Amino acid sequence: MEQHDRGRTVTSGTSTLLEVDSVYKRFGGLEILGGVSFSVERGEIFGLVGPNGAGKTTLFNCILGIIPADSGRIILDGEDVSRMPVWKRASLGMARTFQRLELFSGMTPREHLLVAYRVHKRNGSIFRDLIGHGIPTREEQERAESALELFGLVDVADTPVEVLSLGHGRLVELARAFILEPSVLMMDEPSSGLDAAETGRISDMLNNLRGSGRSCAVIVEHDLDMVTKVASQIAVLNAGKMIAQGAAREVLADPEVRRVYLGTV
Amino acid sequence: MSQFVAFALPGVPLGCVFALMGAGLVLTYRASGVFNLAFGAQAYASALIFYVSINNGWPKWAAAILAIAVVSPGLGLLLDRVIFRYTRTANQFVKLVPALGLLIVLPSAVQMIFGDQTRLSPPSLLLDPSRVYLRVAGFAVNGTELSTSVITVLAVAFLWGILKFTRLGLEMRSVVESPKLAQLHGIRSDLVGADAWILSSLFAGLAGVLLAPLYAQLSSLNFTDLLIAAIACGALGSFVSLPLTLIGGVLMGIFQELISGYMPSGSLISSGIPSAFPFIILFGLLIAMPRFRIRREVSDPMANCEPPQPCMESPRRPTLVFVGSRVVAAVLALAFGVSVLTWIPSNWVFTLCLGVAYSIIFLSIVLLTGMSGQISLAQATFAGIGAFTAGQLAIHFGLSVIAGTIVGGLIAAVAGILLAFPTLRLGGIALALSTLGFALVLSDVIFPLSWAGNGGSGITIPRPQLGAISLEGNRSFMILAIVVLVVISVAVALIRSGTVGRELAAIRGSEVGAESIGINTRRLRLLTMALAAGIAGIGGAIYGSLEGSVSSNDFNYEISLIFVVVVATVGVRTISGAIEAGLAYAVLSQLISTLPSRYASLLAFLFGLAALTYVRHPEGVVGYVKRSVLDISESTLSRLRRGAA
Repeated sequence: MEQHDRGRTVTSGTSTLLEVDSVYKRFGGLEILGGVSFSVERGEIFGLVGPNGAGKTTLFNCILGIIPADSGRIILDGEDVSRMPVWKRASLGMARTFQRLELFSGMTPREHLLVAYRVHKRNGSIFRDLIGHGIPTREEQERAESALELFGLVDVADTPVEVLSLGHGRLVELARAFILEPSVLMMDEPSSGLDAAETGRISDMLNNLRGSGRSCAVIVEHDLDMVTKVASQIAVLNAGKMIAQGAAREVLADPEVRRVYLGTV
Repeated sequence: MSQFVAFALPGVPLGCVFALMGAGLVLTYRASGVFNLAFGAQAYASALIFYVSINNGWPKWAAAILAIAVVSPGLGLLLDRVIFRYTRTANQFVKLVPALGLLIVLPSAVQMIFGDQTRLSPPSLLLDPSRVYLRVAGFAVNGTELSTSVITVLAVAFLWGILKFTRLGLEMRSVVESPKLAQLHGIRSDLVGADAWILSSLFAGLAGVLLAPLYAQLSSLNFTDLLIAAIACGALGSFVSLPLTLIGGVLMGIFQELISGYMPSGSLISSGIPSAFPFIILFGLLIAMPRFRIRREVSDPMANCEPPQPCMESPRRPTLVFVGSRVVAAVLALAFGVSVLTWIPSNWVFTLCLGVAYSIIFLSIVLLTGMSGQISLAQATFAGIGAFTAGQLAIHFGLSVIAGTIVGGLIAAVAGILLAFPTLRLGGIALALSTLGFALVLSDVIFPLSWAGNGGSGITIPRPQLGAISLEGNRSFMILAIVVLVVISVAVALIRSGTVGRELAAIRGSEVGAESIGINTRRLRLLTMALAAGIAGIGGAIYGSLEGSVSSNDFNYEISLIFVVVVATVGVRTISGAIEAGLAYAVLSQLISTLPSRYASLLAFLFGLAALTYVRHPEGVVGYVKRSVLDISESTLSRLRRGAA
């Protein structure tokens, strides 16, 4: 995948792409995240697992800024993005999918990809956006087409998303995130609602991403088979705290992890 | 101190009525998810029935039972069965439009049924209004004040008890979250929703009958104005807490009376501020309270098991049907243009030109609501800003009206930005309410000032002069109006098909999703609000110049509400919808003005009634008819082809 530099100096001296530094979040009296830290290197797939209610989705929301963290820093490719709005972080290279789908109702999968790609490539001038005519360019068409093929969405490309199955909806979200050519791709339970072949497609896509060595991915997933297959690093979140972190095999063998998440086997 | 008490005391019964209506609103909102803007209209209807039946010689208790316990709950049940049971899982705009329609329909319906004569000194429900029952710190409390306060406190306590401690209250709360999930737990969602409407309508009836004697005359305006105060006290309780609503209502009543007591009398501002006070409070609350910064509406987790809503975008048609419909539209437009310039009598050209001016204003609603999904109830206010600017510039600086129209549009756009900044974080109903607050403050406080709209007497706006060509005549002015309409329509069409239009469509689909792909939603909201306000301002200036003189009554908040209802009814998604809505509104109001005065509100009634169908036909009535015509021609065409083959 091609990496796009948007006219800012990329500090690629370090290979760390995403750094999450002691993020805290409380809702009322309830502490959801109690100082979570981790970092993801270029070309790395980072698996985030943990029991339901551990704070995984809240962590994703804090990383992208959908919910502001109470304290802590989010550093994207050497740049502190903690105070930035969501769209700014997205335009700097974060993309995510949602556990509960956030699709553009009324639009088709193709339109999802076209609008995402247009947003990704725009030059930022609002007046140009305002009068810029809407017919997609040949390049935009081709990009959308190839993303549709990659995620197996060609057959439903022109069907409004409301009519699609949950699994197809997830793939549309993935394709929409993927077409943004993100440096950090965050996926919230990508395999739920998918069949085995579709899950395989996602694993392939992630393996390609690792092979390219330019971007990284963070995935929240309950399908441990898939996580161990694609993720090089795994962290286990329980009640808002990281209880283990490291190579997949070692972490899953950790007795504490087995107690809170896997159950004794 | 004694003066303070003298000012504050009359505020208590007034505040109690605020609270009573606020409690009814909170109940409907909590138990059915609908923000019932028609609550005041419901209250008015039952107050009127109470009044009329007493005048017909009914005993007071029988009239009270009829108005409060029979007609009002019956109406609530009817509304739930016919309209609101279909809106339970719908988005806020779909819930709002029928409520707005109702707000317009109810007063005009009762006016047509019972006549439009003035009704003085409405009767009091319980105690004698002229007798002093007790004295507080030396000040007399009469029967109306006493009974209003006591009944309110009792009624709110009763309601609070129901919601808090009974099984029905618990079921009502679950049905709002998800009617389907509630059903899975053995709750009859439909029945519970209907119960909520019956109960809240009972409250509306009670509030209406209690409220009526506080005013010298029974008028629907008193009731709809009170609604904003009621919303403000509901907001004090975050639309959840009934005790806070009660306290908020009483405090607000007291403050309002204090302000009008201590305000120097005589000036225009001093008469505007007290009545605008609740709107200012509401606006401030909406902006300041984090609870209203909702980014997404709570959605029913079971919503997916409903069949999907029909897609709004027109489906792709066969080339022949597509081209055919375009040719028909072009021929109609051409015929319209030629007719206006040749054979149509001048007074009808004036009416059609009014329609063109409305169309321009309505395009702002298409841009804002149809394209970006924001709800503004202040578009007539922006039109007023444009008209008054053009008029004042022409009067004081001799500026040409055409230039004045452009400046008016710009100033309206600036006002739009000023409104958009504090409300950027608000979504759905909170945004709609804050624009309503803005509209009320402007039309009550700013527009009456001599440098703005000059109160009820208004200002004059001349017809423009284009170089040596005078646009004094209706026909020549019509040409100018059509040119402006075409230019703005093309601009809106370009925006819709351009990058911004696609981004707006994405935001309408999912705001969180849109931000997550890098769309700057705040910038786009500011932009659309400013553009829509500017377009409305230009339309307003054209309207003013056509009419020759305008006053603040031409642009008050009720006009804004009617505008939204008219556009939603005819078609809020398309540019042609705005134009059809404008022409239909102007022509129908001209036709209805020839009827007897009792039917003056027939137009509002018709559009309000049509808005009630919005739930079924969100593309608008005309849009629905057009789609059906195209569907039929498409199937006929394919049948003919098959026959030929």
